Amino acid sequence: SAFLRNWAGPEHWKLKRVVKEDVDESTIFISGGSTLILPKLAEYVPHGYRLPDDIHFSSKQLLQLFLKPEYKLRS
Amino acid sequence: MPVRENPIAALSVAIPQIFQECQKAVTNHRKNAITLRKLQLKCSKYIPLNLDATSEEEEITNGELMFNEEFVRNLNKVLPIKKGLLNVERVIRFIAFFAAFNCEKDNELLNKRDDSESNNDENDIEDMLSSRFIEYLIKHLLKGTEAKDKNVRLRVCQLLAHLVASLGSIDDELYEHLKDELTKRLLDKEPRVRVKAVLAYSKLQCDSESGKECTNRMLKLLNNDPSAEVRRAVLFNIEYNEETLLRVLERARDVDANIRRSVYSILFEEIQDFRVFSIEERERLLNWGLKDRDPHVKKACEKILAISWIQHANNNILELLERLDVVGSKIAHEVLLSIFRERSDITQSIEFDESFWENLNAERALLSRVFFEFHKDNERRLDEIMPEVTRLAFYIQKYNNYISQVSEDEQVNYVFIVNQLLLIAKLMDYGDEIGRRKMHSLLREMLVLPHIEESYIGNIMEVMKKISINERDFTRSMIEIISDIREGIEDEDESRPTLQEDLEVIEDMSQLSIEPERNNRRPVNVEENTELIDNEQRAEAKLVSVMLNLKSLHIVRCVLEKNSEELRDNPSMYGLLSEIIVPNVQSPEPTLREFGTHCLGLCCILDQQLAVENFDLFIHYVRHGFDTLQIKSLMIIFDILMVYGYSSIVAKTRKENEIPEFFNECLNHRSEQIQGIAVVGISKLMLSKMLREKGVLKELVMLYFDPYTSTNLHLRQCLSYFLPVFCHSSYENQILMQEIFLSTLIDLAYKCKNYEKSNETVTPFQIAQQLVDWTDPTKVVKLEQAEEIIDDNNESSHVNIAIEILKHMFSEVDKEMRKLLCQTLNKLHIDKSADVIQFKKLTYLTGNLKAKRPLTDNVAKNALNRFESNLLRYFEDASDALDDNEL
Repeated sequence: SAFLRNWAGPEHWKLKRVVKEDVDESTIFISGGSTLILPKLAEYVPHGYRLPDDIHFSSKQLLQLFLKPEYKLRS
Repeated sequence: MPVRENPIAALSVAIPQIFQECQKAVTNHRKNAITLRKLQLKCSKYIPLNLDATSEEEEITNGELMFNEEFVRNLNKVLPIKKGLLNVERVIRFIAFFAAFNCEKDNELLNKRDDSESNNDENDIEDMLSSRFIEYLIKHLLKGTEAKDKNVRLRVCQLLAHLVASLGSIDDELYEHLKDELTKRLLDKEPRVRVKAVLAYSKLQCDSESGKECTNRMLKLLNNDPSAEVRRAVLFNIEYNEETLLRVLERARDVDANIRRSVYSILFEEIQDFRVFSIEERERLLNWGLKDRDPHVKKACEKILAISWIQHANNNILELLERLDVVGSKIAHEVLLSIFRERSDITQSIEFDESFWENLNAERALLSRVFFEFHKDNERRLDEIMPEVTRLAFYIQKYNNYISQVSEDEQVNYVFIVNQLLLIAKLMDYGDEIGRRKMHSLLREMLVLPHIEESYIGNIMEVMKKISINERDFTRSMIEIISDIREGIEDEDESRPTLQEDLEVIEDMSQLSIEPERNNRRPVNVEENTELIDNEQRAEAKLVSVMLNLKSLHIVRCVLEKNSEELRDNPSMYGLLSEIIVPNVQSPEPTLREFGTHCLGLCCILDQQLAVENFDLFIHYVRHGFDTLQIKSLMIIFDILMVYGYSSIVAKTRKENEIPEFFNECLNHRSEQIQGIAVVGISKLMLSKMLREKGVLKELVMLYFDPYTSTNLHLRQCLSYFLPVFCHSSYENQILMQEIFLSTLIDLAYKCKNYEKSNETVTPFQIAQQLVDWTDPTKVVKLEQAEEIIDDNNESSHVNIAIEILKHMFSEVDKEMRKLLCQTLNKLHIDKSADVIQFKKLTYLTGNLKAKRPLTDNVAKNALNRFESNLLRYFEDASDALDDNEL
């Protein structure tokens, strides 16, 4: 597949970086302690990331009378 | 057995090779898994030559252990690598695949052994190999759940999800350990880690007490997690049961459109029969989905309806409607339209034959009405399927007659049916004179009858208007009908003067409604009635009178709504004003007063003189009337201002100062409805450029950001439409917003300080950014006449705001406020279009501020420095334009 990738000539040739060295377990698993958690996330959110009910407000409502919606207003 | 070669020695070459290979393509994963499995088996069975019989067991384990250790050595390399790299994803997939493949092979062996019943010690080792391997990996990964590096935590959770999934059963102790660790990760500060934690955690759901706790915890995330990705992961991985599906349903209002759409696709897949939801829940689900502003969500909802739900109703629309309770439904109409659009195959077969009309129920009535409306423009089709006018009139009469014969519970259905038929009548062609006359006399009869369903009146009037020759003809025949109805009231009124409590009012009324006929008739009934009527009958008579008045007012209202002629040119209408409307405006009966006022308002729309004369009355009612009267009166005030022009009415009523003050009163009214109407009304006046008041605009912005108005949907949703449209439709409007920018921002920021910290409040900086956006001159739509652009282009600019902010900074002492204002400066859009003098002013002010009133806060200091260096950059570009003397 390297052959397939590098067909376009020397300008397009790329050397792929390979991870050769071992990673030390004690380094990668080094603990981040309590700073990793946000306890606030457990709090109840009243709006629950939900939209309010949509009353579908549009320009129409601003171009008509309250008592006589069919009446044509001069713009 | 050929145990000559040592598989342990091959490990350090073979495993890295496989890890290397599996990154190239997923297609080789199977082959590599087979190779790896063979190697694993060999290692687990390998018995070194220098075998000491006593340590046999230990050695065997060691071969397996060495395989595991080498595997983990390679796995570890993947853990710290950033997400998104294809190679890493492939390694993870390979590990997952290998774990699953291993279990599968072991299961095969287990089955074979069960079949042959041959108990072999060696097989015991083999069938446990996969689970021992997975448990080893899980225990290893659990060491990394709290790793400092977020990539490690992410990979650990990702792998755990895969591994737990392939494990058939799990040791109790390990289960609890996993649960504890993953529970912590559900609150990880990195949303992407939380997503993977959810995936792993979801695998722990089961029927046990502890497993149910997992489901519950996931439900909480569905509501509380700010990241849409996390909520989405929960949505797709939570166990679906009756309770959780209800919570899934709630996510149909999630702020994230992808989640909303997912809800509908999940329900599409998971719900076998939509009757698991109550009618209310179905209604909510359809109402949200079919009216969603995102077309993909709408489509997903339509798919449920037009494919799944209709199928569950045996592809029968009427059956589907029966499950929606059409009489009370707000969405049944949309449901039908969706199905007409999506499933013409089903709708083509509907037959509107005689037996259909003879056996109407609510579902059939609605179906036919919406179907006809849907095909409104297809006259030929309508001709074929609609009944003749005389037939329709007959059916209206027939179903209306049923109402008096059925139980109270059923009446509502028949009222619904008749209303649908009246709506159909509106669509009819009245070319045939016989049919037209029949319909006219039927509707007239219905109106005049003492008991009429209030909901009919509007629909009947629509049909009457349609079958009238013109507006005059319509008005004339309606006035006739009203006077027929009123004959009943006049009879009732004869008894009224004897009622003590009504005496004053009647006198009051008779002054206004001068009716010569009435005096003539009076003596006939008076004597008999006054003596006979006991209290009960009096109350009854009064009620009848109120009902008749109400009915007349209702009809008058519909007539006025359909009228466009000046009231003064229409003497018969003017008669209604003095005979019916004015007396009722003064009625002690609140409903009559409210309806009377409504009609008076409609008259005012047709007569400016009347509007001016009664303007004070409406203001008085807004201030001192009861709730509904206040609302109607405020609507009337705005309508009058819109129709005749704000300044014209203000001039004629001499209320220049009072009206803006009155508006502010309404904007801060205790009633949400009054606030909402005031906001909509003022928006209309401002958008049509009739009203231009800084104070009022500022009040609107203040209300928009006020957390207490968050439940006032009309107020909020009107303003979120109005404010950007107002500012971006004209420079003139935008300048008004610029003028109130600073003082509004300062007031809002101080207000924010006093609110309790909650998720709902918008931060002052967010407010500032929104104000900046509204006042950004580059966002004004350039549709207006060129003159205004030339005139105002220089005036509408962010530079003025910046200068104002800088000047204010000299006197501002609040540290937070200074920080906010410095940050705001950098959000303003200042470019070369500003003139040199303005640039100099800004630079001068910034320099002075730094020298005389230096900032202490680092964030603020940096922000101001950034602002200054941006200013200087413009000087460099424009250096030619600068005069040496000026520098």
